[in-house]
Amino acid sequence: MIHTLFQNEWRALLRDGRGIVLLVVGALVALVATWTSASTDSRHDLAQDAAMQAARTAWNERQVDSAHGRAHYGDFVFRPSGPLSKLDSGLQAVTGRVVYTEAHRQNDAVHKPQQASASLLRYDRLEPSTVLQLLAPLVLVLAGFGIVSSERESGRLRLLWISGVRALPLMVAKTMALWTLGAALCVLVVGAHVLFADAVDLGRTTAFLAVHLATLWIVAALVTGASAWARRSGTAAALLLSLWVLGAIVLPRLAAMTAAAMDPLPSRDAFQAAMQEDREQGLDGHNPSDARRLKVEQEVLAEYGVESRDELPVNLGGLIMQADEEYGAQVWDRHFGDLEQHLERQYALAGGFSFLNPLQATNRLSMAIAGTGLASHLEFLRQTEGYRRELVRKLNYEDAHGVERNEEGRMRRTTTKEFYTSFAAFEYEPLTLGDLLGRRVADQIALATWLLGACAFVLFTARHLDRRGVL
Amino acid sequence: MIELEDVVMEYPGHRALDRLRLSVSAGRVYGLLGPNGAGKSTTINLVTGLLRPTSGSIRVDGIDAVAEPERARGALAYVSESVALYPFLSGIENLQLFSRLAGRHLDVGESSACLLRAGLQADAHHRRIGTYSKGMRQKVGLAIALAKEAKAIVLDEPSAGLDPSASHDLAERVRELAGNGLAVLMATHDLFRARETCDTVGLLVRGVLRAEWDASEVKDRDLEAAYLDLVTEGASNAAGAASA
Repeated sequence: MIHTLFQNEWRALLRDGRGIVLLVVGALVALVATWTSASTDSRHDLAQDAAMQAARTAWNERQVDSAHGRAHYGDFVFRPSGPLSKLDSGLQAVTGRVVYTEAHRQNDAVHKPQQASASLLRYDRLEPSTVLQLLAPLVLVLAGFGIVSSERESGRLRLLWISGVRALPLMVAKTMALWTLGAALCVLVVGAHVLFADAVDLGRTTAFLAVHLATLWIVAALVTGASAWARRSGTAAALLLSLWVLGAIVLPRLAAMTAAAMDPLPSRDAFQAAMQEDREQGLDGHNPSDARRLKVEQEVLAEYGVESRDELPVNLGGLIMQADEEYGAQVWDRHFGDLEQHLERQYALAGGFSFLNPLQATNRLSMAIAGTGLASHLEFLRQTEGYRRELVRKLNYEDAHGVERNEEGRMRRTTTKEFYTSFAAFEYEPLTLGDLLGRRVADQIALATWLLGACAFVLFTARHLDRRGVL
Repeated sequence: MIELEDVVMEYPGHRALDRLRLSVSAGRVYGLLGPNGAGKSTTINLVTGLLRPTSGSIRVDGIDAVAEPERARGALAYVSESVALYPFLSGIENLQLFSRLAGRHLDVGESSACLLRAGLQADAHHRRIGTYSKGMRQKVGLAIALAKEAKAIVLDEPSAGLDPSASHDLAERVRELAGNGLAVLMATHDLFRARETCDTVGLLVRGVLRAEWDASEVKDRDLEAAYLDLVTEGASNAAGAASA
């Protein structure tokens, strides 16, 4: 019976002008989104590859300067696009993928796509995740608001009932028919991605597909249930469109605003002022009169058993720079660690709204799976800082030890071009799918709860229909 | 057959049916007359299992429709005033769909034969229902009943909105169904058609079966005058009871 009813729903969708329009428009938008996202991402990747090459060439070809000078010259660190960033660019538009690393400073990302954008809206870029998380639910609402109510209004529900149709198979068949409409869009989007992508991460792609298919099942169940409860199709349409606006537009903003109000982050200026204050209690490698610098100098002289810096076999400046760097790293670890915890706390607070809004749970899981969410960005910043420290440590070591004294006792640098060209470029190690999903357990629980709730809603509505709803 | 015994149906503050007793045997057509609000639709909803009575028993083909509504529905077919079919399907497709849902698989030949028996011309079988007249839709409804091999059929205002020719045609089909052994319960406002079609006519006024005439009585009597007398009397009684 479910099969017959399911077939009939699809026949209705295909023969009904509205169904065809929604299918064709939905498929077109899905394909355009996939294609534009893939081409934008590919263009961005090509530009980034070129920039990486240029930065590497500039680093390698630069005249042999002092290691200290090179530490200040710095290096650009590039984050490759996430494994599924063509499907969901997530926070990358806001967080950026390029960081300028230099001695003594931990910089923010630069060249953020959002800076070049005319809009700060979430919908600025039409990409597959937007289609699946916002447009596909809307398509299901438009295709399905009358899926049961129109049967009641026309009197067909009564005829179906007398023909022996029970409410549960009817509800299941209609939910499945609606879901397969969304699933078709989903498979189309992911299939097109697989076709356009250079390489496919099967695990992530499967997880991405599963999360979106689950969400569309939830939406299909809600639409079918609401249509069964509503006395009129117009009422069902008004209710479902309101729910869509709430889930797609209002609640995500409310979640972010609530989290920010409950646990506000320090402003960028306050964060940097606090860092600076702590930093000033360290030692200034550039200020010879600094008392703390003198203390390190005394320790180095004692270590080498000499009276003055002119007798040292090493460049004192390099050692002081490294000591300063290590102190700066401690300050950064403390402040950035706090900030990171704060961000995660705030993100978790906003995540509470996933239990109110399945679209939010999906959005967060989608970004996590695509490797474009907060956890991936924080991991990128951690790896960037690790790379920066190692770079600066090597340069400071070279600055201290890459010297020799001539007969007059004057110090001469021995650093070669090969030393600089031996530096490996930064390579980002993305978090594994397991790591990422392990950090988004609450969102998975929220989605699973919604999934079970949606199934329970279908069962409950079927019982309601069995009792009286057919009239 | 269809049997209702002492059926009471109460809504909050309102008794829609009061100890209704009626019986429709196999091969007979029972016409249920009554003004608006008399309880005809409630009776039909009870027989088709869409409502449960407050008390009393309802049997369809010997099956207790209150205790086993699904089994009872298996023996029952229903044709409403405006048969609600799927407009995007053809007559044959609608028949095949509803038959399949009722557990019977008809091929195109069987479906066509069924539609022809119900009086639908062959050239309409493959046209979409959206292009059908009301009378044609009702014939598909009758074909669904035939295909289901139902033991009883309930018709709710079947002739409403039909032209005299279509109404006559429908009446003939209904008689044929009864001739095939089906028990037919027909709610109608159409006194003329009731007189022409029914073996028994019951008059329901304010939930009470006020009169029941068999075919010979119906033919001999001025049905309209009797109807108006009983309906007016029922209204006066109700007004008296309310003022008392």
